[in-house]
Amino acid sequence: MISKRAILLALATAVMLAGTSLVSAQVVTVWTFLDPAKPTGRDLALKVVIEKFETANPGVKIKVESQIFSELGAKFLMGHKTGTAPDVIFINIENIGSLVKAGALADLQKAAIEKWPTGQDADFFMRAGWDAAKVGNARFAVPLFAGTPTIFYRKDLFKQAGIDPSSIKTWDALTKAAQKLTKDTNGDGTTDVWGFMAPLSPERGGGVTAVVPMIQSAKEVLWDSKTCQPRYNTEAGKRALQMHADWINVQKVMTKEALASNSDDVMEQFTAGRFAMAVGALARFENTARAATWNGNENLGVLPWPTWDGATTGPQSVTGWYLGVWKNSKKLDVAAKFVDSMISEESVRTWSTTGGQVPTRSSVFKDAEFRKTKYEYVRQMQTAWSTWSVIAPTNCNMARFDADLNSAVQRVVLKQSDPAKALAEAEKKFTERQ
Amino acid sequence: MNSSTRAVWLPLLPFLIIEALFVAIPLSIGAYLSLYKVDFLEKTDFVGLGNYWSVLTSSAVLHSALLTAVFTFFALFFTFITGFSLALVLERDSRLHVFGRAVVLVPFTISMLVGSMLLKWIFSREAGLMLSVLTPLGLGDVSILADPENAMAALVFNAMWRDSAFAMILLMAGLKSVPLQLYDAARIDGAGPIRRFVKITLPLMRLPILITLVRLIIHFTNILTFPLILTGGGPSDATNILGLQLYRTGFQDFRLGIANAFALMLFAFNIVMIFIVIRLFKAKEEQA
Repeated sequence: MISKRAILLALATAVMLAGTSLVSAQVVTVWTFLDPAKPTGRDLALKVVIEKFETANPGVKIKVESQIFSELGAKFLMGHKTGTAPDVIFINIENIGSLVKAGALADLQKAAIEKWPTGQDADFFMRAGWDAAKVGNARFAVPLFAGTPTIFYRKDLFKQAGIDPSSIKTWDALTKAAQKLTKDTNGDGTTDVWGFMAPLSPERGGGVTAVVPMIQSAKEVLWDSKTCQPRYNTEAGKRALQMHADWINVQKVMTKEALASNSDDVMEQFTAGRFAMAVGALARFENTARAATWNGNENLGVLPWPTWDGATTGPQSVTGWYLGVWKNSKKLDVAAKFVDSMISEESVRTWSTTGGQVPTRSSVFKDAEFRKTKYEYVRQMQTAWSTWSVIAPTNCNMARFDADLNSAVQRVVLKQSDPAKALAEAEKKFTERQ
Repeated sequence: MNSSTRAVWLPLLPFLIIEALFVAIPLSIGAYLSLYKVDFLEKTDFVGLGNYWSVLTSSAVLHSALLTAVFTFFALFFTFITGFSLALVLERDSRLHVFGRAVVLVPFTISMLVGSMLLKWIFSREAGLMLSVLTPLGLGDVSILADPENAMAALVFNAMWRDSAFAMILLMAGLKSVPLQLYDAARIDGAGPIRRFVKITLPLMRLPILITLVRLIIHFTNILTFPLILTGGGPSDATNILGLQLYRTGFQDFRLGIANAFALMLFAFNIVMIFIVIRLFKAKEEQA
């Protein structure tokens, strides 16, 4: 029979061991919109990346606290103020400026990037995206997921109409294609398939607007990054607004319902077969292909933005999610090490294959996997980004700039204002927020 | 403190603590922050009443105030009339009436967000049921949510659809308290239904009507969910009412100094409005 003393000794040892492991394990808290307990896409990829990191670093435990994605930035700022922020944070690109201004982020250049072999950072081919959080020699965040607004199109409808997607190099060519694609399929006098669709609701749409690439494709700078002054009211700006109004009122290739549609509404209707082309975020590619009622895996394609003159593909903006480390983290070194591992070549491969993301490193593109037909859209976007990538200034308050521009389009469509006046109003709204 | 004072204050203490924690303290912090420039949760310069002046002189806020007045007036009118009619029709306790009440209560029991999403889907020209209804009438081109006037009408409909049941419950409680003998006596004296309604029901329903109107006015003046989900404030800011404008200033633009000043002014406006409604009712009562 085991004596009482032996049981007590065993219990004491167990408590001590548990205590020791708790004390020795460094817990790094991560705030993200992902949930590694879920079995799909990016959630699963995060789980894999964490497991690999924990295996390689036995003394470290990663604790994920899932948050609502739209609240991440504000909650982190609040946490920074009250001293309760997590060690690692997922940051939407539009929040980088405010977090840097608030002094909430650690310098990752010093904590991690400087330790890389020389030139390795060149692997991040979207240079504008790589440098989005660079202030002087400091780098306050690194890119994790790359996104961009783009034009989705249906290959089957293009084929039926005899349109070669590569011929859509100018906005006028896009208008002509949309005219061909707009159809009343059942002859009841109402349009069943619209040639083109863009979300024009004044809700916050994450920069998914065609007005921005239209203005930028005239090689015009939309926002002065030093003064944060917008420059919407230009010839290209006026032309962009008028073109949107004409699509709805004159050529009738876009439904007026666009004025009340956000990006979710547009993509939902696109998958249901109501549009031949639709403006949406590239991150939605896989979901759209899966949900489409018209065999999306075979028929979904993306078009780079056209330009006014068709000389090159249009300016492809860089949006997406970044990783940062809290400046006041007590585990700054290990948190930076974790961030480093999240963007390593191996992790980027996991984010891309398991998580369905566009690889942020050009070396990953060399994999045989990315030569497959299903990744044609990824290769196209890489080419478009490499040709002309733009990024909104991260030191300005970019909140609702797309909503301002959509409101301007609405005024012109509803004939309440001329383009110049509508753009001046949008500029005023943007300036008031700075 | 003597025992009688303690007997008064002790039961009140938990409520005073809750009130202080969730109302008085946040309100004081809000008032304090409204005097500063607060962007992205960063309190910087003291601006005094500058934020209040910015709100008062903002053309966007004035436009929103006007829209809110239009929305509140029509939403209140239709919701109150519908709620009162339903209360009168469904007042009795037969099985059919109880079933009717249950059906009317459905929009009120589902969340505001889900209800507005449902209506958005119904009103959408591209996907909604309205297209199937309007096309045979030759109105296939009519857009509800993309037209400024129709979008405001849709917003009023959303309010009426959801909150009529709430008005019905409040008013029905009042109707139940009217003594039935009065109706019997009036009937014997030869009074018809309209006369009975005007001479008995309305005068005795003064307080429930006042409570219902005040509750609905506060609700409609500050509403956020309906425009946020159904119209997004558009098209062309046609439904950008005060609640939405305030939400965007605070939680999308992150201009919290101005948003706090805005919220406090809206709070004061609510108080003034309620005071006016109560005064109007009292004046009527004194006249009677």
